[in-house]
Amino acid sequence: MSSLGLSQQQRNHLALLQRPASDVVELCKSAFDYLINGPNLNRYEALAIKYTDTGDPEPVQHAVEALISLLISVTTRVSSSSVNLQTVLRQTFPDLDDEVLDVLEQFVTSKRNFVEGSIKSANIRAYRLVNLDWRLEVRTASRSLLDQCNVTVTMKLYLHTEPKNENRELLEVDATGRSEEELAAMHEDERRHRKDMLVQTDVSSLLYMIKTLEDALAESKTRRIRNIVDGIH
Amino acid sequence: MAATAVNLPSAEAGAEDVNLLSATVVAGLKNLGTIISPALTKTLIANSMKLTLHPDATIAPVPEIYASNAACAKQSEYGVVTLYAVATKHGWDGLALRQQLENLSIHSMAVDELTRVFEDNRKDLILRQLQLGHNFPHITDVQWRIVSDVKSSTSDSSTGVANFYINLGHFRQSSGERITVVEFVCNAEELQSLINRLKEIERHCAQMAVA
Amino acid sequence: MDEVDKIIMHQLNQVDPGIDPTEELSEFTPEQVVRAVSGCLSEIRPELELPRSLPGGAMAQRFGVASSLAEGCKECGYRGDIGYQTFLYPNAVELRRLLMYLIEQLPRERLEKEEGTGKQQSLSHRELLQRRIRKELTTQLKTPWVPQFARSVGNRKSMGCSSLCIEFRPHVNLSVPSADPEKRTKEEQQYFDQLAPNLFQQTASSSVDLIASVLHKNELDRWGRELQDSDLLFVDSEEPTPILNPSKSHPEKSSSDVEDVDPTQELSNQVQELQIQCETLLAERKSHAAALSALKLRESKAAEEINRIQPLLKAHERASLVLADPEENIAKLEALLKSTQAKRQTLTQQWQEYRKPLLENLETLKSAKEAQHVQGIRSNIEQLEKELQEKTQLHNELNAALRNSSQSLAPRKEYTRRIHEFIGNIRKQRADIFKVLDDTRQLQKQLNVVGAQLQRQFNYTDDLLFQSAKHDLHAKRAYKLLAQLHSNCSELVECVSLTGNVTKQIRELEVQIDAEKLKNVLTSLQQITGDIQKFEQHIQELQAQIQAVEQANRGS
Repeated sequence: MSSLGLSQQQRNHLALLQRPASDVVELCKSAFDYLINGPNLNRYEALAIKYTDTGDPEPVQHAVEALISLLISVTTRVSSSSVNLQTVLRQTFPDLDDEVLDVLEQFVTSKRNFVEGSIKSANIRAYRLVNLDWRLEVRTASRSLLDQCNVTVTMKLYLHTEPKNENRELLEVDATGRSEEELAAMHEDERRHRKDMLVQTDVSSLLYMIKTLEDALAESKTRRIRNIVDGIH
Repeated sequence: MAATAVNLPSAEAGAEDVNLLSATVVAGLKNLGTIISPALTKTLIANSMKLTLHPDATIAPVPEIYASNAACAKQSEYGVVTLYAVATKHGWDGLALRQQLENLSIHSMAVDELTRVFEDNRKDLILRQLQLGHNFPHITDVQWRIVSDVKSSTSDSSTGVANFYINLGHFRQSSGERITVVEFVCNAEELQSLINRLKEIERHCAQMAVA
Repeated sequence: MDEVDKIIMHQLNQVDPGIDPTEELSEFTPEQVVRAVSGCLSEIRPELELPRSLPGGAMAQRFGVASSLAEGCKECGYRGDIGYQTFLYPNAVELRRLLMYLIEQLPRERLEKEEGTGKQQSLSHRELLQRRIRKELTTQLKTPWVPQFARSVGNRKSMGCSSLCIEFRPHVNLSVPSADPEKRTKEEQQYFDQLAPNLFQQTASSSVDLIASVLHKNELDRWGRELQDSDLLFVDSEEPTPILNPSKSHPEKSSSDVEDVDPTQELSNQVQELQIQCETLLAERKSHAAALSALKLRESKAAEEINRIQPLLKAHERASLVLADPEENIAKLEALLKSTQAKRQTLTQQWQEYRKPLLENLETLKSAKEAQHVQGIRSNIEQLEKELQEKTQLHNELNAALRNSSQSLAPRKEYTRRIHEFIGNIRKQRADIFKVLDDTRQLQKQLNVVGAQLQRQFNYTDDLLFQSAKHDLHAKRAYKLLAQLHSNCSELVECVSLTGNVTKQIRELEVQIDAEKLKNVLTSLQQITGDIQKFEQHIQELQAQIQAVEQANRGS
């Protein structure tokens, strides 16, 4: 009765886990690397030569991919508050020894936030506010009124569909040491996920906006809302 | 202070008065009180003013204006509206307007009526023309809701965090219909930083107002 | 604290030149305090009537002055602890706080005005604009919020923005009867009288604005008229003007009036014919003009040729006359030549004679002028040398002043560095505070969880024991013990929280004690007792005087 719902194929791929803990650590590190840089065949080949007689990198790659799918299913299926991760893992892999399970648990918990950030908010992506620039403007003349004094606040809203922590990296992008194609791809990505809005408002409305938003924030901190959110959780 | 600012252009206006109004406008103004009867002149001016100030409102048409000499009436309507637009644009007061009209040798009854109506509605005219020009979407209204997910297609458990859906917009003046300018999501932390940013603007404005 | 004091003293010196910037804040006498504070207050709120100095004599008057100043500070919004004692028995910490607040409140304009002395008499446009912006901002910041649909009414009085925006989108092709009715054709007149929509109908669509359209057309008409005038000048010379009229007003009409096609078509055909006619005529005229100018050119060339040839012709005529009788004529010419040569010699002689004195005169004048010039240059050099000396002296003086002033005011760089340091420290502290807060929150959460668990456990146990207590004696005792345990435990918890509160209070008191210690109460107390004694003395004197007066009265 595995609560993680791994398929038989994935289990087969994870057969490599039945090895000393140090080897499993190596595998987990490869999985981390996969998350950040994508597959690295040379590395798998080196590991394969160490683990198997044939030196075939394929089982190693399968194992790494299965580890990642394990990571994802643990993150999505086991709620973060229930700490008995160890028991779940033990139920899933009854034939592994404690040391390896420890390594697995560490692997799963350390990357939990990363996976959570990208998966949980991944389904329906609304625009998030990333940054706001503003400028106080006074219109002193226009074609229809030559003498006036119209004060407006012009704001530029930077909206983005990516979750926030990934945005930060995008915002502080450094162009040095990147190839043309990479930069072009990044711009393409920005065009797809970004939206900059120019809006304006008057000072009186600005004050009203501040007040309303503060009310919203205060409301979210009330016991009632908290109870509801905790209840759902 | 405002008076000095207004007097400036009106003092200069004497030299360039003819240039500010086209021949068609002048011709339209000259019809008032002459070709168009005094009573009709009053109606025409009042009607033009109403339609100028409330472009979206539905105002009952006044057919008798066009009963006779419709071409002149149409020309005069254009003349009156343009006169008021130009006068407001250049910041004339009632006196300056009267001076201009007398220089053009308009019928004296029409001059009186034009000046009176202008003085009565000057503020509204200025407000009307203040609105005209290039603008970014103007935000006057905020709507929000607090949202927390229960379950989703990608995750069995809730994130356990309340999110805010913030909707900024304004209302269409004629119909009162609400127009969304922008909508976005943020969590409590992001909302707090947004509020801080807005307060920074407020603080800056307050400083500008004092210094 | 030294830098702060320096800044404060510098500002005070600007407010009241009587305050020396080198004095120490901690050694301020009550008189100086009163002077400084009332100087600042009168800058901030000139309408307040405040005493400018502390009277030396009677305590009652001193007290009155001090309390009125304290009142003034409170009215300016100072929220710290302030009263007559602040002025009569000053201590450095409170005084620093008060003066810092007052200096922050000082109007900025004063400083700007001082910088641009002499420019005050007439406000520039820039200043006017700044004032207007300030006024607008203040009103917008102060006025209560008005919902958007009520704004055009609500903000009417203040001329505030109604926050309604209309794009400037003119109807580019307004059809309005043109100025001169005689120039209109019959059909046009009829069209305008009957079919043409009026101005408001034409601009009724939401995509255009009435005022924008009107302004646009007015400007177009004015601009267009000038252009047409220049056109007319050219055409007027040969073509009759009326032919231009229909073609000018027609496009307007045809674009606005689509429904009756036939007359329009006819008219446009006519116009096209006329236009073609006009064009051919113009072309003809052009070719004629070209021929004419070519002919003129030839004529002028011929006249030139004639002029050139005529003198030649005359010379040739003379030569032929002379050649008719050669010997006689040669003799005649030789005699003429000789006489002419003699004449020339006498003339040169005369010229030389006349020229000599003049040349001499010129020479003398030249030398005199040169001498004068040299003299002038010399004096000029001397003057410049003198000036140079003065300037170097001035330069030295200014250098000395600069050195002094840069020494007296600590360098700005130092300040910014320190401010950065402070900010860094504050940031660090903030992070620490957040950490502590997080820890506390975590702890609170755990506490709550444990507390709730305990409560549930207790309720459950309580129920269980109560149920069994009905039947079992031991259970009854256990139930009692449980109740006791529970009450004892809650007492314990209460005790712990009380202890916590008390510790907190103790800490606060300690902080207060430290603050009070800083105020060196002892010396102030001595001063106060001294003042009280003075008061008593004064009262006794007064009583003695009263008695003396009474006795005198009784005696009389």
